[in-house]
Amino acid sequence: MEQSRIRELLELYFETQTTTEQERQLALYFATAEDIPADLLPYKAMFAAFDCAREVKSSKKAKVSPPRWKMMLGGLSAATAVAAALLLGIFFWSEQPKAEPSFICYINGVQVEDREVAMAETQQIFDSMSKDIELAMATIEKINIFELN
Amino acid sequence: MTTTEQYTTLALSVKDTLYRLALSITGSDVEAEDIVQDIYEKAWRARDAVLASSYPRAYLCRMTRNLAIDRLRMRRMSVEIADREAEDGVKDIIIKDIAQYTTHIISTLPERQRLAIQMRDIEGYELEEIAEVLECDQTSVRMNLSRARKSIREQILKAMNYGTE
Repeated sequence: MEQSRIRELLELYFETQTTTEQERQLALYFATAEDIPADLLPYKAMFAAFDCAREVKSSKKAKVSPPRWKMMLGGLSAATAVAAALLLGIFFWSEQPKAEPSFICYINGVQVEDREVAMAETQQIFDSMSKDIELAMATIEKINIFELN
Repeated sequence: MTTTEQYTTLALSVKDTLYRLALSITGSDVEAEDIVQDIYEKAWRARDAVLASSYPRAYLCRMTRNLAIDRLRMRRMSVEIADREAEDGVKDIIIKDIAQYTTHIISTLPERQRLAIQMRDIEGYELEEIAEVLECDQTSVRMNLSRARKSIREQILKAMNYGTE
């Protein structure tokens, strides 16, 4: 690449007006050219420093996913948290004072809180009573007949 | 390719970038290795979010930057003392390798300028990606990058004149 073009690209480079491709051209020039003028040597050092920095590699083998025991521990702790939440919920629910029933009645000494059940029981008692009355009336009629005879 | 495979490929492709990024912030290779492993474990849990982001590799770099900064804050006092000692030492160094000196200049730049240089001139990231990593707009990235490059140039020129006089 011509030196005039290199100088032009350098101007743009310091104003951050170069593309990544133009910056690659600059890096390639300073890494490979042999006839670099003295006034451009500082830039050769600069790009060489970037190349060196790029060569720094991690020497440790990193695992992309967490170890199996950590994942199992994570699942276990989640399950424990859910179980604890459930237990706490049950505890506080059982500790709550029970709400007063809106309806209470006693049938044959037994407390009944359901309005419909109470109605049905009452109806059954009335039916039973009406049958007893009919039977009593029939008996009275028989008695009367017996007396007339 | 499954999501897990996609994520694994991405994570492995940026391993050295994450390491260098953490190293440039903390200055400690042991801590940088540790940070990379921690980021892998955190990112694994958020792998769907990583892959869904506009710039997945920048997303991982941002996570790395934030964790490295947190670690650095935890040991800020000792790092400041070490930096002061390094600056004093530079005056006594006879500059034989200007490239090596450039690496030192980069390490003394303000954080945003240093990371802008790291992500652009060393890692070759696009400005949009660097903006994602630094959590700022592209104008700010351009400004930091330009200042960093000019600062490096200025200090290299000064050092070279110092060496020839």
